[in-house]
Amino acid sequence: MPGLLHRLRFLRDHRWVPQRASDYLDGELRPDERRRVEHHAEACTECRELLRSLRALIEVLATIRHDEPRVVATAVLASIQNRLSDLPPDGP
Amino acid sequence: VTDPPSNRELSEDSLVQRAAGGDMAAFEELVMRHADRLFASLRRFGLDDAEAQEVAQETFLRAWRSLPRFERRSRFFTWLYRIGFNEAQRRLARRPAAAMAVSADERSVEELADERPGPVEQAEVKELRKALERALGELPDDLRAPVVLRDIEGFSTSEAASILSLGEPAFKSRLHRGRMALRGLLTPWIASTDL
Repeated sequence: MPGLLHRLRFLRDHRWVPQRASDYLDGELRPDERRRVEHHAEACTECRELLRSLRALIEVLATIRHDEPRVVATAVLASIQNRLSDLPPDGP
Repeated sequence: VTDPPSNRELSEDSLVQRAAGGDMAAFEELVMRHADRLFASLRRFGLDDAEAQEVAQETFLRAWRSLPRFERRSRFFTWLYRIGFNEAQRRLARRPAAAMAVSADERSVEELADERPGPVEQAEVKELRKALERALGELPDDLRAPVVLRDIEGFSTSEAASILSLGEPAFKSRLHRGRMALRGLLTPWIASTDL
């Protein structure tokens, strides 16, 4: 009987953890929910892999932000200045 | 007597306050600080270069006109982004159906896997980023936007949800679905990249 209960709990958490994986990685779960994720992931290769791969994805996404060259600001500014110069001179 | 600080030395709050009072030079400094980041984000929302530049210009013009009413309950860039995102959404909605992004589950994982890089780690990460940008482009708009805002732009959950005019639970749900879709598209990469 304890074996069956353990199995049912495992299956229940196996459905629950993937739905909460992003919240877990973003630090948005309560402490008891975090423990539930971690406890299940210790025993479940599939969920452990899900967490690992999502974490890797998030880390790579964060690196994209710093890749942007400075390319359009001057052109955007010039266009804005041109358009605003056509407006009446009473400010915004 | 010390000279007053140039606009480049002023804090964002000071610039916003001056610009709201009609100081065009202060506003121009805000444009120079934020235009490239806004442009890059608009590109990731699915606009092409020309559209993104037009929307960036329109966003700043609207911001200039609305600044006197900006209540500063959020960061300037968050507010600016909300204006830009709304305009980008309008542009995307006007596109013909054929030009819309396809659903992530219609994509071939092999399409990305075929382009897996060689063994040099740095090149591999660079290629992974390229694959990631392509995969992002294939996500439906409603799943791409949360990923762009939260994971690339680094907005907090509450800020990003606010920009998209979503409640936090709905935002989190879309963010997770977007990440899962990307993970599905990039499985060969993520499995082979030791990050």
